[in-house]
Amino acid sequence: MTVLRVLLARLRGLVSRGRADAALDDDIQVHLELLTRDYIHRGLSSRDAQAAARRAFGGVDQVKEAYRDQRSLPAIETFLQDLRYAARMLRRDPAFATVAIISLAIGIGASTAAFSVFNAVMLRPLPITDPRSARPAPATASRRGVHPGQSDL
Amino acid sequence: MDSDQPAGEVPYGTLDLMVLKTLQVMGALHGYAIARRIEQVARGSLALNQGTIYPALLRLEQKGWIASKWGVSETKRRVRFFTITRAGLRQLAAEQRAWARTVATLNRLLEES
Repeated sequence: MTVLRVLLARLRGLVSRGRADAALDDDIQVHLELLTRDYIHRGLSSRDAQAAARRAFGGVDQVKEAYRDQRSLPAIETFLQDLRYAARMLRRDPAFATVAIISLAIGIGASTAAFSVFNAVMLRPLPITDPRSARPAPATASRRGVHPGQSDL
Repeated sequence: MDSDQPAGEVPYGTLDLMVLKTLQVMGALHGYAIARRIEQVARGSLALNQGTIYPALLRLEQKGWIASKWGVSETKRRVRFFTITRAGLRQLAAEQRAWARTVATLNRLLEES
């Protein structure tokens, strides 16, 4: 159950990234302020107190990074980032994008067509029960075959 | 920034337990108050990087063991206050038992002559 709950929470984290980051920023801000205040009470100058607060807190960026990894699904987040990046690059150079899309379309279309023909001609067996016994039909048989039951005139 | 930790670093996996216990005893607290309380109880025997408490809080919240609510800090800024949930209390009890068992086992082993 807990696994499922965590997965759901992380999926939610994927959607509400900005809000979660803002919340963490607020928390860190307050934390550093309170730490600084403490050190000032202990008699440090405000500059020394700020430095001491940062030391006690540890690396702000490491904490943010650990938080981000924990917040959502990093693999999916990276993938979405790559997609957005790709879309941005394509939009920036429409001529290149058009050429790329057309060559892809032609490439995919040509190989699909070639395979369709090859498949129909070479790969699929004839739709009859015993293809090995099939023989080329004599020329006259075709006419008779088309109109079965008709008397041969 | 200093990567090699001095002795007395937080034993792996125990921060979550410390946070749960702190919230059970103290009620709603923000991250700074939790970190300070843990340091006070440890009486200087722990080198806690206070920032690491935030990923831990997120982890616990995702598991549904704690809940958060916006409040106002002593410096008049908005900040999240965390409380332990009922599931968190159950988890705390279970982890406390497991921890006591581990410690007892280890002590027996170490006291063997």
